Amino acid sequence: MNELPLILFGVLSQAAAGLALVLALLPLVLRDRAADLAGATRLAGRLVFPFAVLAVLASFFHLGDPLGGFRALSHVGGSWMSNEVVLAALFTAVAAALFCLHQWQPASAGAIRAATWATALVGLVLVFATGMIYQLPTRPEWYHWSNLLAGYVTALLLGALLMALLALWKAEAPASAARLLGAVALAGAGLLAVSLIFYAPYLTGVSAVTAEAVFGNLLFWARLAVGIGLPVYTAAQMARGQQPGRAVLSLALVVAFAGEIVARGIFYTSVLDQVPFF
Amino acid sequence: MGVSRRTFLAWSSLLGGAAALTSRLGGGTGLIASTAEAAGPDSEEVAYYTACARNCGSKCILKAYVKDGAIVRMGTDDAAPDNQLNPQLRSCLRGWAYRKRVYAPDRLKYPMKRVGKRGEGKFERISWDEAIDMYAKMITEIKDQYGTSSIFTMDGSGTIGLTLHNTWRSLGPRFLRMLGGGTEQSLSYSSGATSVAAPYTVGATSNNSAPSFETTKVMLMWGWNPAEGGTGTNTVYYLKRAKEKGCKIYVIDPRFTDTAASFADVWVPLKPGSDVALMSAMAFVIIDEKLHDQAFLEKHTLGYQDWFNYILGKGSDGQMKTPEWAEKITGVDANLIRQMAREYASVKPAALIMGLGPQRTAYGEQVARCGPSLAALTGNIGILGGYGGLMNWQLAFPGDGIGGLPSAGGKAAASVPCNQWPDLFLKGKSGNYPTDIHMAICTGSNHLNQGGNLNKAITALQAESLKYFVVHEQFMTPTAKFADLLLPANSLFERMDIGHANGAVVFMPQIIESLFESKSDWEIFTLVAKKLGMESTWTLGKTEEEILKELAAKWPQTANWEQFKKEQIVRLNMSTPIVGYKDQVQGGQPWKAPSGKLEISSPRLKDAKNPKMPAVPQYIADWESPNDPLIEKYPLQLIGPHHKRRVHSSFHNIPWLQEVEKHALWMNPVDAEARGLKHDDEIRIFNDRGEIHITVWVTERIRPGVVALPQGVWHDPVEPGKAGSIDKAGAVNVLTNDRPTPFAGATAQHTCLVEVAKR
Amino acid sequence: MSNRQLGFYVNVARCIGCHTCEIACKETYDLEVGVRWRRVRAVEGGAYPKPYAYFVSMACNHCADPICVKVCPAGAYSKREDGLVIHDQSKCIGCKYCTMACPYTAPQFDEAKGKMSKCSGCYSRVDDGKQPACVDACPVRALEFGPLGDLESAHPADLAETLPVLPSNKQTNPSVRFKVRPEVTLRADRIVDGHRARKV
Repeated sequence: MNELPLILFGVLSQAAAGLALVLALLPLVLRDRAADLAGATRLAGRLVFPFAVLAVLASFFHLGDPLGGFRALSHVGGSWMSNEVVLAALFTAVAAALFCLHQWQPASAGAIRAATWATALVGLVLVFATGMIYQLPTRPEWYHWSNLLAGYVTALLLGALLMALLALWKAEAPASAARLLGAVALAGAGLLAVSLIFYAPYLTGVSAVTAEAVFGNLLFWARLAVGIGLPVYTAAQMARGQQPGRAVLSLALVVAFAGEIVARGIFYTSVLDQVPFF
Repeated sequence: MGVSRRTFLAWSSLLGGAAALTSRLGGGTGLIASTAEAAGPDSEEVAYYTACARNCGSKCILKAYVKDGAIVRMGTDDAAPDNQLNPQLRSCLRGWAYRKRVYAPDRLKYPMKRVGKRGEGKFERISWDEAIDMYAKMITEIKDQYGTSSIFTMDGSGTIGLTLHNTWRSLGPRFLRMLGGGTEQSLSYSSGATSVAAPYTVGATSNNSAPSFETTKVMLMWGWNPAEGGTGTNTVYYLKRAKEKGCKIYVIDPRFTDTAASFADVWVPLKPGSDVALMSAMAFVIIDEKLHDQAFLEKHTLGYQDWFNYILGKGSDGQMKTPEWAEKITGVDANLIRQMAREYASVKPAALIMGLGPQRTAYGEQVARCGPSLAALTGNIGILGGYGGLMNWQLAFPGDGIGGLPSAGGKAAASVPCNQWPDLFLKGKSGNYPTDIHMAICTGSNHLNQGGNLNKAITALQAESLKYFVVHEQFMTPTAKFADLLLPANSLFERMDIGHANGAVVFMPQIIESLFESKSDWEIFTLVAKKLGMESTWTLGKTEEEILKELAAKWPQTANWEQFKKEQIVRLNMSTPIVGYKDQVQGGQPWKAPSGKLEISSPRLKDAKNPKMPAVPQYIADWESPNDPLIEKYPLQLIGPHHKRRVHSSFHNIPWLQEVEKHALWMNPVDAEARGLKHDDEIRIFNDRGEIHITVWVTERIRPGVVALPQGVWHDPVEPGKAGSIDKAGAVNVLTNDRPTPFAGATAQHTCLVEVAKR
Repeated sequence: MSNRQLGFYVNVARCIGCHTCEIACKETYDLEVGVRWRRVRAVEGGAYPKPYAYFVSMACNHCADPICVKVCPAGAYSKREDGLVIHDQSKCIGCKYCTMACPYTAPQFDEAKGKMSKCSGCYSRVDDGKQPACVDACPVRALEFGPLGDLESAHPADLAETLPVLPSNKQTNPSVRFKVRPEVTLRADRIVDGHRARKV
């Protein structure tokens, strides 16, 4: 698990982006009843920034020369890693603005809405950039569009579940919010299903050894069964307008987080463990 | 302390004369190489050549770039441009790692004396004065009480091919002879059986040079792995050229070695110890199909009819040595035997190049006699492109005329085959050895690690009768751990010498000062001799340089000492191939066997009527082999081949070389599966003599029924100094036998049965 | 117009897998354990009694279209006019992106320094008119170096631009030419790299 810093960067930044996304979407279903979710919204709005900061800090642990990390900005436009660094910085900045707006009331609803959408959109582009890093034509095992979906799966799943838990914790649980969050989480699971359907045959054709390392890996199936299974179960409940219990929802969030970390770990080790490539 | 006169002289000649480096081709006009080379952008670096005088079978040229008194980088021969006729004498990976060896953090720094039990490896530091005092007292005590014959020289091939500082059969024996004569070692672990048995066939062995194979059409590389082992500088280069010219190559070996992988057209995977059966079956095919060279047999050999009788089943055993008969013994398909025999016999020139592995078996004498007999059968001996079917150490190189180190007087009191030392130490006269041993001096060797039956060797070193064990060493080897007195030896960069490289004579300057308090073996013996009042007897009253200068003066090419020191490299002409037994086959000279012929059947052996050393070469079933009931208990044959990471046990401790390949037990998938083993599993290998814990390397590159654990890894027992303790490093000799061959008394370390189980 | 891009010629038919080139390079640049600018691998296949193995010595292929140059966020890689791809360690941040991208494991991570490094094509020796250290070290003379056009015309027979066991050369166009032997077309079973045997 020596890619843990990279894994944490990915999962935390994607969770943050997902959280920002649901924060942007929720007012659309709550309409004039946005106040029903005020507490959770304020809490979530302040959570995006620390998640982003943690993600960036984690990424520094990956570097051999962390203090030289700023040099990673030297190849914007050419290298997707440089692009990602710029976007991560931008994401952290808008998340900081969102944090400030929520922290120091009163702030205009318009400002908050703008900051929320900015954070969500930058976050979604950041997820894209993170995925593009691994779209290397020289790494056929990774070189498939389905791998770009993985970050969005994480974002949708974790963002939605996290928001749902915060809402429950604040005892604010309007049904319309639950239905949206359930739908978003289910959409994440749906993206995963789509990506796996197309990736499995592709990977098997490209590298039997890596395919074995993924689909022959017990953890891969455990992540699906538990790390996706339980979240899907609770999301389905929420999508029907029902409120899952706090314990179940907490557990769902925890296994989802663990599952995304495991999935990302398999993503790295199934390919990078096959050294020498030559 | 000021700089010694000797060191001063060495340094001033270094600095004064090291301006121009010129190489010459054996007497012809020179090709000027570079001047005092600025090795890098920094012009303070100076470069010197030296010879890598180690026992891999090659001796190549190394280059050392020195700055501020330290070697900063190594190189190899670049003193002349590379060319086809006289290629550069390039080093291998081990020579390239030599700087890492010189500056290894585990170099022994100062003299030490044992504290605790012998073999525990616990020492305390002492001064050189104390050490020499102890050393001299030990010798005097043993000499007075038992006589010098009870002192054993445990010298090895740590350095070989040098003139002054050779540890191999040189300094140790010279010292003991001077004292009054000690017990020396005969034979060698390398070619013990061959050195005794071959003369009964060929009289005196003589070898080919690698360039002689350029026209070879069919080559049998028999138990020979030059791709990993060396066997002569540029040997593999010449062999590749032969292959590229269309030579068809068979590699006969239980393993699909790197040599097999990069050379073989056909791999003949025989069982260890079955070489003579295979050769006999080849002889059967050749004789039966009348492919043999009758004219050659009649002109050059004695007693071929006796051998024919043995082969054709007309001898006392009435057994025809057919390929089918051999298939049962060797595990090699009968049709493959036929094919190889036919090709070897029907094409000239064909070379049966026998390596040294096959004769390190229970009846190695027969291997040494059968090879040349088979070569004679086809007339492929003594001709260009052929080969004599046996290897006595390594391939041939042009000689030089430099003198050998003069004796310091005296002669050996007794001599015992080197591999029998544990038995000698334990039994002495009661074991029919000529002497009891009460003291041993180890120079340039790791005998404990490298001889058969390591656990027995431990008990030998811990024998009560062995009062003193002195070791000169560079590292804390498994042998060094048993020393009573452990003295730090220096490296070949830290002293002056003349090196006999493979294809050149090299003036080897003292390139750097001795590290820490290390000294050369010569210096150590000088100090002890001085303490015993014999300094000038030992040194001949001369400095090291004076001795070397006198020896160099015996050869015109090096007679001008100052010029030799400047030139450093005097090349010998490699372009003229050397053909072994050419004088006999083409030159009309008699063979050096008593009858003047190549004695396929030896009259002396016929008279001796020894069933274990018959008149003609015979297949005799090995003990501890598939012929032995022991196979029920220990079903796997174990061999301990050489590995490219090491020269025997030297270079074991160099991390760069450890990185090259994993040390593990090679095993065929069939044997692995039968034991529930997967590649890289932790295993134990065991027999009645010991146990090793290591991992398994499952590979198709070894025949079923055979496992291989490369030799030379340093013994690392769970309990230091305790015989029988489990070895965690994979030192193959924990499992091998010290039972000698019957006639030569040589080592049979490749005759060994083990079992392997998951751990 | 002959291809002037500098590259290596690797005679796989001749290589005996001795690793001398690997260690000569390590010594020339005093590399740490774990940093191997040149690496010799055994490619094994077949089954007893007819296994095969051949050896492939590879350093950096100084690709015509180097992906390391593209992906490095710190701009630490650059390509010289003569085609050699150089790594500037002072710019490197040790993010290891290049190790993920390079098909040939050329970039090596130095744990002690926290930075990458790789075969430099011995550019300072080359600029001095010398050959790379590995080329001069090979005991069987299986390595050559020079403009690809020259290497190609010097060795017209059995020359290949890639080996089936290698990753596709279409993405980066590596500047290496191989003299093949028959076994390279066989389906390999595993690649042995030092202490590892990796199934193909």
